[in-house]
Amino acid sequence: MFMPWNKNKDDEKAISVKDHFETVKNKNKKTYLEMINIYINRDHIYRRGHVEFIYSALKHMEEFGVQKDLEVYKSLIDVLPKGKFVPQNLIQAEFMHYPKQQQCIVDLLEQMEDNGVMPDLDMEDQLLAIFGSRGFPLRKYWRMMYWMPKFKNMSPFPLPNPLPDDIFELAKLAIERISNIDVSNEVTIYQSVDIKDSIEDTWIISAQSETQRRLLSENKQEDPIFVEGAFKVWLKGNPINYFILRGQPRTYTDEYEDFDNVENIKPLFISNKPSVKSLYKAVPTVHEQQDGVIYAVCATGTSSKDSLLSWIRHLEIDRNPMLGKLSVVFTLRSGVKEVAKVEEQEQIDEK
Amino acid sequence: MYSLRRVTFKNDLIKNTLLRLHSTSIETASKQTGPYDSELKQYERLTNLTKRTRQKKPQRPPFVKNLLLGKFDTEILVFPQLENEECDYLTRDTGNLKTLLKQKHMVNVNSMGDKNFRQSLSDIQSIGLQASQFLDGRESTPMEVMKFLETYADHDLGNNLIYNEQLSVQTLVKYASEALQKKYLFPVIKGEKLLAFCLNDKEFSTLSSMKTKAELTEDGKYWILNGEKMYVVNGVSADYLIVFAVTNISNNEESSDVSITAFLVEKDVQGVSWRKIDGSRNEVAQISFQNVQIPVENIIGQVHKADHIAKDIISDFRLSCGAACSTLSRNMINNLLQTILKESVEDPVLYKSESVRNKLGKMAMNLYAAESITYLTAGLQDWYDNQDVTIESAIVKVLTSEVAYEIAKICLESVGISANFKDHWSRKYHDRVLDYLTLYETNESQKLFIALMGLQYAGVKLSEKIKKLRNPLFHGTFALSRIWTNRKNVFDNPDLNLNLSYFLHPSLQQASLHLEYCAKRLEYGTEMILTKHGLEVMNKHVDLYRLADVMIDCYAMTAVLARASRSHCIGLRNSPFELLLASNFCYFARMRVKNNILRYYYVEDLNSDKNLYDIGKQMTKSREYIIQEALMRNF
Repeated sequence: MFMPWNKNKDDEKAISVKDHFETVKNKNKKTYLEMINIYINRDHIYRRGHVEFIYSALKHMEEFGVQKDLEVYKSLIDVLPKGKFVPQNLIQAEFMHYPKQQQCIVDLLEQMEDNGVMPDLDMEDQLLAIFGSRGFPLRKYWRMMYWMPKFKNMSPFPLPNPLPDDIFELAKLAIERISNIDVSNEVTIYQSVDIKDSIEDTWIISAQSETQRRLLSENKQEDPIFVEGAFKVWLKGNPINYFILRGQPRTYTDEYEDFDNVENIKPLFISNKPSVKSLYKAVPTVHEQQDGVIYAVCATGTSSKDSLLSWIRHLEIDRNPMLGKLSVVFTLRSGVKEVAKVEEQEQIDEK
Repeated sequence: MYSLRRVTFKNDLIKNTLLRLHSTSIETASKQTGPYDSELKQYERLTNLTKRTRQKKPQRPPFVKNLLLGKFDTEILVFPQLENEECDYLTRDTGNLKTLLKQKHMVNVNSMGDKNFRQSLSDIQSIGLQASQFLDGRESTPMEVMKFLETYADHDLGNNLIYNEQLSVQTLVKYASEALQKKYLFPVIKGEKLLAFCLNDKEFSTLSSMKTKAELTEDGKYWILNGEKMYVVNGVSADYLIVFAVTNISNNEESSDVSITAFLVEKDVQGVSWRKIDGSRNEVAQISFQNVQIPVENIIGQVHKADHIAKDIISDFRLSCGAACSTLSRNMINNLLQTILKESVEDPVLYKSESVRNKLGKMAMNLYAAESITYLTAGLQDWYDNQDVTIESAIVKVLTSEVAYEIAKICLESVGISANFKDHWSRKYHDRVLDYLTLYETNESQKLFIALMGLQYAGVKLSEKIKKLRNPLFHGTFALSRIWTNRKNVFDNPDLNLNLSYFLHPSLQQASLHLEYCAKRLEYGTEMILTKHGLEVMNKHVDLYRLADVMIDCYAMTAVLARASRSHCIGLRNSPFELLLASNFCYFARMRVKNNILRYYYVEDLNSDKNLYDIGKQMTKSREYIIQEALMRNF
């Protein structure tokens, strides 16, 4: 929306209020709400400079960690007087009565939208009381209430709301999301101390399916396998590092039986399950990608090389005896890369 | 023992009969020096032999398979029957069996482990129905066997008796060597011992996925058996086990084929352990084998060739489901009638209500179809030499078990509150019927089998045509001419030119037209499904179920029409009602077939299939029922 009065918000002519939010030491929701209360009580009758106050409050939301809190937005809107800005005639209604105030609340709603905070029905009453039924903030509110519920559940990978703070829980969610591609996948939690020689004590969240175990057991002995990472997966703004165990890519021919030739239909005489037969000679599983076969995925508490080594040991104990016979190469992107290279050299020399 | 033609003992007769005995066994595992010497002792029994005089007719082409190609074998419209003498003896003997099973000391038996129970049955020669008469068997024909099985099913242990007879005894009768038969089958027929048929592994889906394995020892005298068998009916009381195990796996580039061998194992040898699986009425056991030594003589049939045995035996076993379900359905209907009549004392009289009469008629119609289809299939086996009835017997299994289930449901609904109690007859029958839907094979898998068996046959014959149909742009003239020749099929109005009414009683003319319509639609449906999916049809289960339903309906219509026509022509009592039942069944079947075939190419139906598929896909992704509670709020 083009608004000439909105052009230079930080115009020097605007009344600049002293920014009280910066001076607060304990920055949390309680103190934030207190600040609003102090403002309201200080100038009870005229409540001067409320637009500027709201703008400065909006600016500091993230510092206080309240940018996703609907209650805070509502108490900010509550700063405005009720009834004063409601247009009284057609002209006022048409030409944006009290433009600065309206624009301020539209900006507030915009910030809510950016933060994914959905307004509730109380807010409608508030806005109606402040700006009347023809105010721009209310129209913005209605548009938000049309779209936001629709987008709220669109994610094919839903996460719990609120997201847990614990990094372990987050990593578990991340690994579950990654491994969900194969429904038979199981997520296991190992402790690195269970391995005799490990230096660190941390958790390892590992995911491997039965199919991946089979694929790993089919890996040729002379082909090394790689521990790669750290890769990032984002959970609502939280990056989680994860690692993969990868083997050499396999080649597949695209041969398939002639779909038009119906001479080869083979019924199963006794079959308790509906049989599915692929017409392709070989169908790669979802784990066999063009750049390699993924045998397992993990996230560890420290993302260090030692914890990854414990991971490999755990996998070996946990139904992957083949791992003992393979040379495992660590190609890590972080600072431990140099160490990994030495190790890599040694292991290849051993072979 | 009854005799159709009492024969006097003669030298050449003994030679002939002995030769016949030898020819029934596939191979003799151990060679005897003088095979005739030991047999001579049995010779008193030989004087009692009956000789089957009826000759089998030459094999017909498979009926249902040919229906898919639009070929209707009108010979099948002649409903099979027994000779007068056979029929008399059969009525007498099954009557004896029935009275025996009704006696007090037999009714209360609830375990096959009861030796007296088995011996009483053996005394009237009711075990080993198809076994050689040298072993005190009966050498009954398939149709006679059906009648016996129907009588078995009256008893609470009917299911167990049928398992014993149709699976275990039949395996030995058909495939075991003479020595094995004498050693193991004879005591079973005499009621001293009991057999159990162990096919299902713990996680069993197909024959080739079997995990039970047997290996030959180095000296070649023994097989070492390892593995576990689940859901072995009669496994608790059995003395001998017929065990199927993988004996050889040949890995080709393309696929791995497993060879399966059947062994006869005595249950008390070392290494065999078993436990009863609770919760089933059928005395089901789990039997595990650990390094069990089996002498090579105990192989049934040929080494590595037991998959044929399993197929043959199970195919017959499916047929026996028809007999059992018919009996159950008949008993349920009679019981329900009694209940209704008892409750009809007050005014308004219950039995006069439209609801009751409609229900009774519907149940009779379904039962009539179940009986007809069972005896028609048994008759095909009986009359024609080596007739291929694999599809037909699977159809019998599906149709009869569904009919019985439907009737059981109607009974529960009609009985009402008393059916809430576990010991009520309607609940008991309902439970028994469930066995035929769950134990061993499900109707769903049977339907896939029926449809794919049919398509396998049709696919070979229609291959060239389907190639053209699937590539219309390469075959322009063919495609254009087909638009014209196929127009009536597309508009669901096929030419009815099979003239089936020539082979039926004139009163059934309208019904015969229904059958013709269905046969024509089946032919068209086969072409449609193959054209639509090509070789991928194997994975298109939803369409396959529909095709199977159409096949089942077509075959059932054939059976009811043939039977009703025969009954009315020879003037059986109540045959006019048979005409009504048959006509009505055909009318309903026609509606089902019409609907099923149209669903192959109705766009709305294609979409609805796709929708259900998508929902299923999403649910497997999220591993649960994905829909939010009805009271959930979003804001």
